[in-house]
Amino acid sequence: MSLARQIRFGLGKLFARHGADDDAADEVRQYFDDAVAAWKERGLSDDEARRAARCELGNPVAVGEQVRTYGWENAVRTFVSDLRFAARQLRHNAGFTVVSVLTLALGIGASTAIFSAVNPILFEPLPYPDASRILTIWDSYHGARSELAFGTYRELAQRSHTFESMAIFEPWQPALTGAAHAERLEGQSVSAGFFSVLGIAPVVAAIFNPRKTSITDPGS
Amino acid sequence: MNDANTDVIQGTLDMLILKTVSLEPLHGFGIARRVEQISRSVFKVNPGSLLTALQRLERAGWLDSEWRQTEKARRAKFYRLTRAGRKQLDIETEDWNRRASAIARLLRQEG
Repeated sequence: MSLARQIRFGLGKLFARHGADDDAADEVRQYFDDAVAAWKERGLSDDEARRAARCELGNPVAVGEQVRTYGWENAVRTFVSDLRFAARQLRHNAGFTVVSVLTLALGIGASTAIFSAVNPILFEPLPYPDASRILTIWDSYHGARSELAFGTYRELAQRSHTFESMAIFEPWQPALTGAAHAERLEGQSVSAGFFSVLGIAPVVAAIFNPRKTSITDPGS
Repeated sequence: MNDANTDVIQGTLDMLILKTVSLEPLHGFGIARRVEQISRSVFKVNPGSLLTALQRLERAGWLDSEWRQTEKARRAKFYRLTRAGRKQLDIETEDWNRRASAIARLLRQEG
C-alpha cells in the first residue's frame, strides 16, 4: 500500500467533498444504467429491465453508501459531523452548556491546583544537592520505628565509616511571646552538622560552628 | 442452477479485477460483465464490493482511473492497470496457482 497515495486520495476526497461524493454517486448510477441497458438489450421493457437490474444488483442507494464509506477520510468526515452536531446541540441548550463548562472549568482548575501543590511537596525530591545520598536513620523497637537516642547517634557518628557526615534533630515547638499574644512555632532543634549533611548553607547569618557547640558532637 | 453459489471466492476479487483490466481499460459494469461472461456465470460480482475494491486498488497504486466517453457516448470512470498493478497481478496469480494445485492434489488423493 502506498501511504502517499492513500493520503493524497483521502485529502482530495475530504476537501473536494462535494465533487468526490458526486463522483462516487455518478459511478454507481452509471453502473446501474449500464445494467438496465444490458437487460433491455435482452428484450425487456423499460420497467422490467429496471426491476431486473434492481433484483440483480440490490438497492443503488445502499451500494452508493457502501462505496462512499470506504477509506480513512470517511472516519474523519464522520468525526467532524459529530463535532458539528455537538456544537449545534450545545448552542440550543445554553443553560446546560454554561453549567457543563463551569463544572468542567472548576473541576480541571481545582485538580490542576491541587496537583501543582501536591507534586513538589509529596512526590518530587527536595532540591538538595545529592538528595539521593541523604538518609534518615531510625531505631526500631518491637518492629516499630522509633527515634534514636542521642547516645546511639554519638556512637554511630564516631564509629561508622559509611556516611560522610551525620547530624541529629528532633521536633521543637517553641512559644513566641510578644506584646499582643503568644504563638507556638513549628521547628526542629538540630545538631551543628545538620546543614553540612544536607549540603546547603543559610542565605543570611553564619552557619553553626561545630567547634563552638558545648556538647561534643562528633558528627561533622 | 438457481441456488448455486455465485459469490466470488473470498480473497480473489482483486486478482480477477486486475486480470480483467490488464487486457483493456474498463469501467465498473464492464468489469463485472466480463467476469460473469468469462466465468460462464459461475461468478457474479456484487456492485458494492466491486466499486469499493476499485477504490482500494486505485489507492494502492495498482489502478489508475479516468472519466471517459463510453462507446455509447456516455461518461464512465475507466480503470487502467498500472505497472505496480501488473506486478501485483503476477504475484497474486502465482500465489493462486500454488494454492489451487495444492487443493487439486489434496482432492485427488485416494484413501
